[in-house]
Amino acid sequence: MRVLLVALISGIGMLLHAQNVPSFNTAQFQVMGARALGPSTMSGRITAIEGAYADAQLNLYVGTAGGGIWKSQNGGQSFAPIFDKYNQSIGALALEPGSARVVYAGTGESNMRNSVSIGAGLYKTTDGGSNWQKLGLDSTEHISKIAIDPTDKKVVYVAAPGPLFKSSTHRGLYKSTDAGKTWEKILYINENTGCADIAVHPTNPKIVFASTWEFRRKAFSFVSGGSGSAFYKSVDGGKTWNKLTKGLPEGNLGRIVVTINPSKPSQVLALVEAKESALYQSNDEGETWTKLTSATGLTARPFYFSTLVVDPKDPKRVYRPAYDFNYSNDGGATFANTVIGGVAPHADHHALWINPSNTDMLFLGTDGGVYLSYNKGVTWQFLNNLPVPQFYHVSIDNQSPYNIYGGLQDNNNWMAPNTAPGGVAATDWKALGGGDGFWVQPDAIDEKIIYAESQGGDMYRINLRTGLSAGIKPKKQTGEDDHRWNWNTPIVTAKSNTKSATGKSQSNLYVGAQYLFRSRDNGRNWERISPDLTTNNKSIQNKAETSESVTGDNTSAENHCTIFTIVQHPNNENIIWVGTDDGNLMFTNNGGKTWTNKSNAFAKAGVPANAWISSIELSSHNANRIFVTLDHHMYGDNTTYALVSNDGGNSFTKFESEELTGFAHIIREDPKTPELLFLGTESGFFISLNAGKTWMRSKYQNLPWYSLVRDIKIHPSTNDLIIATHGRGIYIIDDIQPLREMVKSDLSKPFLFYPIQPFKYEYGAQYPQAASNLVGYAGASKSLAPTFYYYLKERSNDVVKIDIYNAANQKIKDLNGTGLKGLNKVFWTLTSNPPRVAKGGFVAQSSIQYAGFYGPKVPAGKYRIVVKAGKDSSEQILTVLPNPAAGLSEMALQKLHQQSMRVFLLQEQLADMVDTIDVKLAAWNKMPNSDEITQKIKAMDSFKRELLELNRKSIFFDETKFRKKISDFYLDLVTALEPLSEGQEKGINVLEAEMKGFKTRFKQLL
Amino acid sequence: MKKVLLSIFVLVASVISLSAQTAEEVINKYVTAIGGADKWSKIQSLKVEGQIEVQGIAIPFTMQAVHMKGMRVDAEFQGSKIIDIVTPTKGWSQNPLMGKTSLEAITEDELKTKLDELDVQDEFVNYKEKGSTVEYLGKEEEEGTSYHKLKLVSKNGNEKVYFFDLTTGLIYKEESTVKQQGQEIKQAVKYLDYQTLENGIKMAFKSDMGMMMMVTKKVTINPTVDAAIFSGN
Repeated sequence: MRVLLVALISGIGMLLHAQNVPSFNTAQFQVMGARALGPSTMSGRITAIEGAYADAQLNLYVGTAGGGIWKSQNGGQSFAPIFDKYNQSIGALALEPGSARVVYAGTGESNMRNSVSIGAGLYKTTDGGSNWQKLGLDSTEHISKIAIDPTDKKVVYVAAPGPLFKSSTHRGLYKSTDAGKTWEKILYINENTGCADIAVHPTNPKIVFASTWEFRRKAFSFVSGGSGSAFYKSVDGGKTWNKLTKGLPEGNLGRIVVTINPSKPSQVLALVEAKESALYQSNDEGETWTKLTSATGLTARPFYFSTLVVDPKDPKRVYRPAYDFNYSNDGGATFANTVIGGVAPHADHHALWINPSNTDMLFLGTDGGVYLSYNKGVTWQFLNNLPVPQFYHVSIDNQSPYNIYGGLQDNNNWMAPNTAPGGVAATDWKALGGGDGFWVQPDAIDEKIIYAESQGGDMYRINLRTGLSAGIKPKKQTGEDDHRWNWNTPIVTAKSNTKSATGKSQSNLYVGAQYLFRSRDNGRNWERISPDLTTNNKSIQNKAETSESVTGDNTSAENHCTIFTIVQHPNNENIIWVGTDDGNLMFTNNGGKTWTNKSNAFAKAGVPANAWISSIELSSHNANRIFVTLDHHMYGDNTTYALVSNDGGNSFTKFESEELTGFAHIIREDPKTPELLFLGTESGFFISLNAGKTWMRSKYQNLPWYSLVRDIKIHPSTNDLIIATHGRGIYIIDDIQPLREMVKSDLSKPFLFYPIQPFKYEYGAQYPQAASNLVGYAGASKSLAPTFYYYLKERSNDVVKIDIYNAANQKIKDLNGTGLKGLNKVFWTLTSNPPRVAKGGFVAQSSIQYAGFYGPKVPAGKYRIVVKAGKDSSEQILTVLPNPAAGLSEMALQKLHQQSMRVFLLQEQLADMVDTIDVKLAAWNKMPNSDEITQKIKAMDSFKRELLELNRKSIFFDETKFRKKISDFYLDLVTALEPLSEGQEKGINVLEAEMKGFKTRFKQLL
Repeated sequence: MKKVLLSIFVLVASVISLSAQTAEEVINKYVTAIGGADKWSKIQSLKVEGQIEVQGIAIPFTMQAVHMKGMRVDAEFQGSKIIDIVTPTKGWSQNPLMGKTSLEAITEDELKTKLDELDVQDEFVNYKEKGSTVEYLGKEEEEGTSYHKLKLVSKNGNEKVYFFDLTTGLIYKEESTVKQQGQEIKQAVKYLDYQTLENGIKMAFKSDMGMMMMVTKKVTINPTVDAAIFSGN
């Protein structure tokens, strides 16, 4: 009994302790928000576009492959994301007929390429996207089309191809008759066949066409078509179905696209994937069909292009956006693809919306953003405002400011500075070649040498000094098998201790086929440093050439049994880890002479064999610790496999958390704080503050909640966290040092004020800036100012006060802080409090008004920062260092401060003088009338008019009096980055002399 | 078979009534938490004095309103007078910082979004009689905490979404959409520091608008307000 009691008490004790430590979520460090760099320059894959007018403005909804839904309320001039709390892969959108605010969104793109993402069901908004509700169909993974009965908006059809990598019953055609509350599956063939398309007759909505599609992707093959694929018609709203065959091709069919001619609904068009794929037409509501054309431009890659649209008013004008933009003027018998003028739309089209009120106006969704045409597609313009690029990887360099490098799905390789004057503009991004882009790496010694690639390992070296490039892909040597290069072939650069024959330091460059290659001369010569590191299982190697698919497709996307991940130890080039796409984790500690397969340890951690090794991270804190992420989604398993080993890879433990979803792409350990881990999956960015014991989904760092996170880097000198997403571009959380401090601190305390890093006076470059008309989407530039972080265990309703004292212990600045629960952040602009400025007259938007906002810059030195939150108070010392290299020497800063303070003093003296004048005038005005008083008032009033501008009439300043003179001078000084020259400084003498004169005269007027 | 069907029907019916009931429950709990409908219904005019804090600068303001008849805000910044007037038919504003140097009539769009402010009682007090409709949107996470989420559409057509604290029943956050020239602009306010006034009603004394904090210092209930102040001339 006693024992039990003791156990109980100690249990309570533990409970109490646990209660003291607040339960954490990412809201508690929401101040560590990311800068979203985008860019919009090359945008990303667009999957759906819908539009309607509201309040005479064209509202557009744009669905993307991995960047959620974006809305424009001005015909595409600007967009805002409206789906950031939900799955980011959009398959289909539909607007309720007659509404611009009721929208259905089917998640899970249906353009079934190798890199397609996975959805989480169907959603609906009734208020234009401010609030969404989930309607179900959670496990369909891919939704291709939503159709609403034009005569009864409660009747909704959803075509779900269903899962791509596995058999599943969650596919087929679904129907709701209560606006989405409940669903019935009304057309279902089998576990391998989904529904690809649906069309509802515009005037007789009982007539419905649907196509079923059998398809399956594996890591090494893709099959489109089979006996399940067929074309159906219903005349009773989907209760019963008839298979359509008359005039249609025989044998196995693939994906079928159907559209009803809106202005001539007896006519139906269908693109049928078959042995000979072609466009078919029916003129009897689908009963019989005639082939129109089998032109290649229309029929290529049916699994990827499923858009067929007829002009709402002109029954002869047919659009088939596919690899390029095809249009017909004869109902589909012949097509042209001519685009005239400078801007040709990006290749690969997936969505087309024609404005029904002006059918000349087309919005086209491509692999590279949205294009707008005002003349039915003859000429185009690019909408440079959708930052939805799909990065595979991100790299950084050590320049100042450092650059970002990365490759994009179907959009080349790119680089840009992480920060730029006026923000990182679309024009700051520079293309580095490629087709699809993947790894882009600066050389480990010479950062002007860049290695990049396109799909299937077609790699090249760029010399940024000359701008020239050269191919460097290793060639097959005698005794080697044909090389197998992954779609997304790893290129890795690392340090080396070796020297060339001429004594030059060398760097290591690694690339992997099934063999690992190393070059120490920038990719000119390669040394094969491994045997085949994969399973070399012939049955899982690229089957595209022998595929049973109705239509073939071999683009290296199915290359398999390849190396996918390479990591060299940063301090020991003999230690190299390699991960393959078929589950091998290979290790060498002698630079590749011998290799050990460590993948046997995965099974015990619950990881299936053959899972792709998507990333390997070697701990900076423990030589035996290694992290691995694995991706098994190509076997229909979307589990998050993130593992850690503490014994050099002999055994692994899987991180378990209810928070984790999505197959894993990348894990990163903070090199400074071992407790801090970052994990990126297909479905979110996750953070652990306790070495993986618990995980939090990042919801308050400015990323969408279910971002597709492909890569994560931590900059070694700025401590920035750089996140590459496959659908929303690059995000940067500047300087994660406060997160490290927080992790180390005792969070059961009510209030903590963290140490402040010494700050070197620094300003971001002001010029040159991008032309403002060309910036497109601009990512925020980096803020440069000392930042104070404090922690509050509970939210404070009182404003937190921050007082700053100089070395002479004078209070020079008052700041207000926030009272957020968790981490709070306050910037100091390195200025002291602004002066009191003389009141009177109209001063808005003038130097006089601004003078009351800006304080003088403080000199270098030590500052004491006191933070007061309620009863709690704490202080830290901030050392402000000069930055002579930037012209901000200690002397210069001191001088600038002194000069500023001289004019500051004049501002306050004038303010005092005007206050006294106003008091006097008020008093005199109250006195009984007399000649003397009248005289005095008149004289004082006229004196005041010499000091202040009281006659402003236009929106500009009409006069300059003493107040404006000193305010202009003052503003110049407090915004300057260098002190006045000796000559310029004499200007202050003049103002001081003037002030002296005013003071003398003022005395006489009293 | 009949029985099974019936139970499904009952289940569906109960689900529907549950969601309807939840909206009512959330509102009732809230109205009770702020002092009850009786006390609020007695408020016919209001005067609020306080300051707007922005970047360490405090701008004092006074708000005076007569229920459903007129509302006026006066503020002063560095000698510039800022005025905002709303009546059921017209509104005016003067804001030298925004280039409006004298009282100018506001557009219909702007007036529409401000008409709800004429309600000096809380808008959930007798919301049905006031012509508003509500919809319960379920629970939603906000900064890691779960809240009841409820949409209110006022008779003036303004849509607002409110987040109600699960334990106190009080409103933590309001999201509204202001429409100007066909473009929707989203706004969010967090309500902090609820205090009880002498007549027993409760009000948030701080409104956090992100860049700006509105701080209430003094509230006068049913003061005499001269209707002349609502004239924009």
